[in-house]
Amino acid sequence: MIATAAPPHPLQNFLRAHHNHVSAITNSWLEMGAAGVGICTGDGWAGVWPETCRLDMPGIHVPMKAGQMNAELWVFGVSDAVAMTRLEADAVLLSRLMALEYELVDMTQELISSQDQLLALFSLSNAMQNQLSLREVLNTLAHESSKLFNLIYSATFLPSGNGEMFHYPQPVLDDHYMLRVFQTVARSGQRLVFSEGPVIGFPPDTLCGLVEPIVIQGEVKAVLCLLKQGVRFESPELKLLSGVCDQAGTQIKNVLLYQETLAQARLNAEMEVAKQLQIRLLPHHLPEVNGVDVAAASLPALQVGGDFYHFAAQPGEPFMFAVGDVTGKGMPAALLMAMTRTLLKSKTRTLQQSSPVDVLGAVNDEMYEDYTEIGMFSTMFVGLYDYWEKVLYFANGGHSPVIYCPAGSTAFMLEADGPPVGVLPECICENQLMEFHPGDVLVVATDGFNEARNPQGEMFGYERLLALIEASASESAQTIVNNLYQAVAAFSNGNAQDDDQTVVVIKGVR
Amino acid sequence: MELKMRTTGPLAIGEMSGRFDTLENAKVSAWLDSLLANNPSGILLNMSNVTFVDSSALSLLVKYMKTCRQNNGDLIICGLQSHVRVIFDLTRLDKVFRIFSTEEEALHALPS
Repeated sequence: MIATAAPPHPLQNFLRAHHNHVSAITNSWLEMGAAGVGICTGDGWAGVWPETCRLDMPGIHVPMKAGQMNAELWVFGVSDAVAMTRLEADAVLLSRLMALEYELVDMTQELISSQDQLLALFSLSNAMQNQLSLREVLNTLAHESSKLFNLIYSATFLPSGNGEMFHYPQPVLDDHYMLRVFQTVARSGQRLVFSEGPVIGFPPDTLCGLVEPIVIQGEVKAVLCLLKQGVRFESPELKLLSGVCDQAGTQIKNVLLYQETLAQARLNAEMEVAKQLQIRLLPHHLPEVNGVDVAAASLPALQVGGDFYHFAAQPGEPFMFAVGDVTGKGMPAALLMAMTRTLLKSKTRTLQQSSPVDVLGAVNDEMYEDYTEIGMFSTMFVGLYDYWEKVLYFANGGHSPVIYCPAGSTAFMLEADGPPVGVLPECICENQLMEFHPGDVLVVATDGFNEARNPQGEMFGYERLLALIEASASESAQTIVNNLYQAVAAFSNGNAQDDDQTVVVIKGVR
Repeated sequence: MELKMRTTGPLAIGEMSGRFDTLENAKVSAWLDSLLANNPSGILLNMSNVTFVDSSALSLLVKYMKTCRQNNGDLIICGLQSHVRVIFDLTRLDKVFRIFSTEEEALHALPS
């Protein structure tokens, strides 16, 4: 069996290290006639010279003291006053030597531990810099700070997003507790020192805790929570801790920035796909219809938007067409536009012999709930040209601008007679009828034209639109479309296009 | 844009001023939510100082009008400047909302 040696008493270390000095003193006593010399502590004899000396014979002794260490210096076999004076002088000398030795040991230990801390700090900053995910940064911070401050527990907590919390080595505090301390620290912006020994099952005054804020762009976004044995964190530890948390804040900010850039790039790519998809949803070819010349175009704004148009041309049947604009921009508008346009396509196919109001009403019936849910609506113009009768039926759910320019006459707006699709549960539009002869022009555009702005902030407006169409009315449908885009682009003069610009032009021909 | 709130009896009166467009939607939406929280059935919006509305602003008003009507209340509009009124007319939302020229007229017409 191997006996486990008790750690050497500090006094024994001292006696070994200063063997020469101690021997000089003990030898001198023995030469002067003393029977023996010994040094003892409360735990027993630390050294006896000679080793065979009997410890029960009479002797004199004096106390020795160095820092927290108390001992006694004994001399056996002498008892006179001179010996006592000398013993006292020797005890003072040895005490001083012992004190110096302890100071040296303390300093060495401090140096070692500060070197350890520097190493830990280096490894912490290295570890964090290599992390590109928030989870890893927070985990590393909890793990490394535990080593750095010699803790019994450390945790990091970031409540935003899904909330992230990491413990090291084992969970001690739960997330409700962490949220509470986080809120306190976030409010004050200050470190929180607490003594939670009793709360988590430790005796009072054996455990001290600390919650350090991690500040990102001037706001407390996360905390580092530490528990260690002892009464308090010392001032150098606190300085180091705030340095660590400053660095963690910078690293977390970088990670968030990186993630944001990544997400933005992904979103841009998705939006580009959506935009391409949306353009593909629009008719690829212009229909050939007896009695009318048809042209159409759609110029999406930077973001995906909600403009759409549709043609339904079957030989031997009236020609149906529709233009609409879902309010708002971005993905919700684009999705509703895709749904509405798909529905429109199927309704114009299945509702044989149907009128514009039938189609508008059917779309409203089926889409009302969805529009209400998302909090949007869609303006929609549906037209039906009858070649045999030379008439145009139409229903207008809140759509503008719709401009009619009879051959050789003045252009004017055709106003809607019902609100947009998705506003009311029932469609209240009625079919309207007008004659449509060769030379007559109908322009169904979206508000991206009249609301286009020049660099001075002025809008293109309806008056310019009416004048332009009147001036172009003798041209082909395609030329009217081209003129419209050119005029609005010239007016905008480089100012960014805020909204989709979509137009369908129908012109009566012989 | 600036948003202020007053209460007269069971009706919350909201005063809006400035441009009402996509950029203001989140702010207006939060404000209307707080108006509705206190007066679930009725909001009178005084828009006499609103200089511009766009289509997303209109869809926000439609959304809150629907919410109010579901609770047997209404969102009523008054004081539209003529060029703002044109936008309501063109989209035929004038047939959907109860719109009054002035606040007094609106309060007079409503059951107290």
